[in-house]
Amino acid sequence: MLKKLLRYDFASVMKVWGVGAIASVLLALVGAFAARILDAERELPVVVTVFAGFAMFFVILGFAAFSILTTVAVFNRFYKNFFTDEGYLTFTLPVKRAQLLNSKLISATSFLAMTVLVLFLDLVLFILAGFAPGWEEIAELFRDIFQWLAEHMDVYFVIYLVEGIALVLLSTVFSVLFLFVCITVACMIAKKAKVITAVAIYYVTNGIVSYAVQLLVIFGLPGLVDRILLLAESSNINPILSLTFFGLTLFVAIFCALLYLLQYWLLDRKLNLA
Amino acid sequence: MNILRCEDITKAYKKNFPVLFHLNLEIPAGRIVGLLGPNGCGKSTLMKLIAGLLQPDSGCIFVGDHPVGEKSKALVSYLPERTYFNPSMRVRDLVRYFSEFYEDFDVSRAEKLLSDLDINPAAALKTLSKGTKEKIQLVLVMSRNAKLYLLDEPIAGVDPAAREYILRTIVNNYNPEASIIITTHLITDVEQVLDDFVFLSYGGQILRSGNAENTRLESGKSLDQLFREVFRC
Repeated sequence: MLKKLLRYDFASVMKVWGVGAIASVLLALVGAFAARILDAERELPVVVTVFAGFAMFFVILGFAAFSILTTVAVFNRFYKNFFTDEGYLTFTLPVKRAQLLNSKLISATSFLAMTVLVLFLDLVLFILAGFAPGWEEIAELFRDIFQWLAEHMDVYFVIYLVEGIALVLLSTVFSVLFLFVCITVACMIAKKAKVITAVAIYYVTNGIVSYAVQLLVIFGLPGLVDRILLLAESSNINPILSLTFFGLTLFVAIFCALLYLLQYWLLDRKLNLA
Repeated sequence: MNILRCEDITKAYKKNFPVLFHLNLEIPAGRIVGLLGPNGCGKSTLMKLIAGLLQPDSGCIFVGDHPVGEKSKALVSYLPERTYFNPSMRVRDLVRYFSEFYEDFDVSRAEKLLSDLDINPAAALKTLSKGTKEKIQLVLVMSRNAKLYLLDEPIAGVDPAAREYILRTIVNNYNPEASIIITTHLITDVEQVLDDFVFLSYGGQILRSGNAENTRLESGKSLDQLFREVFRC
């Protein structure tokens, strides 16, 4: 059943996301063209240069709009599918509540990751089309990369890479779950203006957490950093650093699990489609 | 054998104001039951509890042998008061959606009923009128071979001709081994199809229940007249 839910969740957002992705690729090409104009060695009329400048500005705006579009599309689907009249169908399907939640979580995380990937590809396209590096330059870049990897590739490099990927993934999952909980709580406490309430809950909670982290940084973290550096001085820094990253990853994973359990409990026990 | 068993159900939306208070109800298989009562007495709340949309504060509900959950939802076909479609879908997408999630969904029956209504399967839901969407919803619900059909106000807000169509669709297309629970205020239109009835009052009290035909014969009154007597303001 989870596969079926995922298929429909992906299909419903893909319509909007697909258009945004194609538009961002076209914008990257427009940006590349504008970059060539701005980078041209010969003098061009001022109006052309100004137009190219504006085009670059709108290209960057377009990339930002694509990210926002993805975020809005994904969380709008979550809200509509769970908390509007569509919920009458969603929550009477013969599936487990956890499967409904997992499907939304997986699709949301995937779309956010795909957006980052598309924006990265847009950047590569922009550089390749805009600055037209020669094949020799590209080959030299790849040679430098492989050489660096060969010099630094050891077991700790692999560990850092795995930890880095895990941390990025868990951070994305955390952000998605956090927004899910904000939307869910807003729908449960607000009779009107649920979206504004969700945004308010998000920023207030974010503010409180940021303030708490700042206090930790001021009063708690320097001591911890000093201890880590002291340990690093007396022994190899790599195991200390990788353990620190592991600790951070575990910390984020625990918060992800807590948010997941909270979201599940809210959907299971507190949902009331009026 | 009872298809539905509600044991000591209590549900409150606000503390100290229960909508249902220690309700006990059993529905045998193969019956069409009218769940009748004034506004706010808990009919829709009870339907939502059986369908699994709400959790009771206390008590248990069993559909067949299953407590309300994943397995009971596979046995229950629920028609809410509202239309619950994703407007970006087409009619044929919905038929496919139902056939994928419900093993008992009869695609050919759904297609025939939609064809009888002259509804184009390729039509986008957002282009259809409210009445047409309600009919599509009814078609999808009645195209399942469920064990229990929950129809919450199926004929409210529609014209008399549409009411007749809806009641005919319900009677002609449900699984005869299954039970149907219908909530409605339009008792005169519905009582002709009812086997049994339950008069539900505030707090989920069952004031009167029984066989519809026997009650009419014994009292010499229609269910509508009895309802007006029992719930006189």
